[in-house]
Amino acid sequence: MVKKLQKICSIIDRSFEMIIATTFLLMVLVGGLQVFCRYILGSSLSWSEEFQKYAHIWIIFLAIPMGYKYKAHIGMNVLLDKMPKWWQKYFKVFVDLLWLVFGLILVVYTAKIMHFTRMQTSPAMGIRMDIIYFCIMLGGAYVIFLALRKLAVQFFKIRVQPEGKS
Amino acid sequence: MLAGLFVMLILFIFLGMPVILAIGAAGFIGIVINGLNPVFFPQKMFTMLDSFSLLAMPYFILAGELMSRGGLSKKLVEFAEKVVGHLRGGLGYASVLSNIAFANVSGSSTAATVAIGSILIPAMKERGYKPGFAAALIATSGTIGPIIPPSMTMIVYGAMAGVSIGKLFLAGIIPGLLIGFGITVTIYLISFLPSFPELRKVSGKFNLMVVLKSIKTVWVALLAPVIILGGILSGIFTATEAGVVACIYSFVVSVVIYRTVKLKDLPKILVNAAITTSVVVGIISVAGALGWLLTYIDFNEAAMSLILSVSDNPTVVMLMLIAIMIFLAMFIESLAVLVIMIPVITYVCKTFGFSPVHFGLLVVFATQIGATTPPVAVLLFVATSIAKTPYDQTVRYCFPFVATLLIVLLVCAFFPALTTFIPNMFLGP
Repeated sequence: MVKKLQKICSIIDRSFEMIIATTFLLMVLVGGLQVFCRYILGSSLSWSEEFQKYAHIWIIFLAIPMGYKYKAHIGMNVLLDKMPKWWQKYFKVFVDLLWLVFGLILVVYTAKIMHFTRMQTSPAMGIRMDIIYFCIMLGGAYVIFLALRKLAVQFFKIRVQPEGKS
Repeated sequence: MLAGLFVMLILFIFLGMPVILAIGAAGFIGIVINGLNPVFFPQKMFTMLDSFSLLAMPYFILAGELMSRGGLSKKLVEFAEKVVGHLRGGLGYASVLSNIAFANVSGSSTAATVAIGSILIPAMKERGYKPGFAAALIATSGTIGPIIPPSMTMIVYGAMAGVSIGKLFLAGIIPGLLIGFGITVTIYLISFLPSFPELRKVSGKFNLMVVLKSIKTVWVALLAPVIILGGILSGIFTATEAGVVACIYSFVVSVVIYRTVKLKDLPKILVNAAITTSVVVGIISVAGALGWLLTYIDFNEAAMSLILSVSDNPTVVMLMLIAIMIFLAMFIESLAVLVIMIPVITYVCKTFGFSPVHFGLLVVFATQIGATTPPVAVLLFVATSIAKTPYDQTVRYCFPFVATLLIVLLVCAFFPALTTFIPNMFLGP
């Protein structure tokens, strides 16, 4: 049962990594194309800046949960390391709960934004704005998923194989 | 209410909460308390990131990630050792020199301290340097990284304060070299002290042929600034486009020429660079929501009148703000200090008519000094753990170096031309 769940989890993680890598690669390629068109062909593209901007926003909101997963987010542990073990344990649970709330806030309120931006389109590419805002919701949902996973591991004392930063 | 919000924010960060959550919580709670629609929270997070100049961040991080694979930092340190290693206190100079060279590739002081420290600190200990001294030296020369372009911290400042990132990059060249010069002089002076006989030991000889040979292994890093800065200096590229070019350059070098990166590693490298970017940009994003709230409730004007109640002399105000930044960064993570303070700083800059480029450099510099000043000094922590020495040993030796940094900062503060000369000459005032 636990093994099956872990397999599903790792499939979800891999898909997020693939989306991030693909979007990032496309962003660099479009950036290169923009420089090439402007300085070598002498004519600028109308859509390339907007594409890179929105691709960047997608990458960021999908990579924030990734950073949570791999404990990459900046924090100070000077004081925390000096605290007793029980405090550190509860503080960790508290932080995971906060991440959960953060994810919920992102999902709930972005849903509202998407509702009233669904009729708007982006100026250069004409993409519906709610599609662009969707990344915040997706990232928020992934944060919730990861927080629940971490809390479940803590709560049920499930033994998980340690994962390194990929 | 406002004071409560700030106390909560500082306390959260100090207790060990991730900075992104602490700032996010302060922003969200502030929005709710003021009776504003919570929808503003994700919306302002989005608006903050909706900027083309911020794109320089992922591009330079990716370029650095590509280049530092395959041990480029090690080659740079070896090169620096061959150039200055034979001198009095030569390994110290090598640290400064490799930091200046590495700064062209990486824009983060922590990354530079780890990369260079893990090679040079063991070498210094071998030659009899005191571990605490080695750690203090490596940590303080790590501050060169965010001053010499490209710099992640400058991108943060430029994107949040609406200042040209290209100009900020160029403004950092002279101050960055000055820091290197200052630290070099400090090492030279210390080498005369009776308690530092190890610095006077001279070993090896300068060999031009060996230096020329080792250029073959490091030309990639030495050529990078020519391309990046050349593009910005000549006004051809914006900082973001220079970042794209840096990505393509480092891709060609590491995949085609050196073959240190294989194509199948690329997805991993992209994901890693994305995570590193999101750690910084995520904080900018939540700081966007908090900053919007602070502007909405006229916090900046309140802070301004507080400043004016102390003094309305521009020089005093400038020094006061710098002192506040250093003081805060002595206790809290320097990036957090920067993103929290930027809205106020921008407002003060406008009111007093300070040059945003000059002041931006001073502020970034000040947070870096805070990050190497005890009690809470991220760079000292990193270097201390590499040197495997008690923290108080590092603290003991760090003060001459911190004093040097302060002097360089004050010189830059009182001679604005040092920072504004290059950007004004090439990009116009």
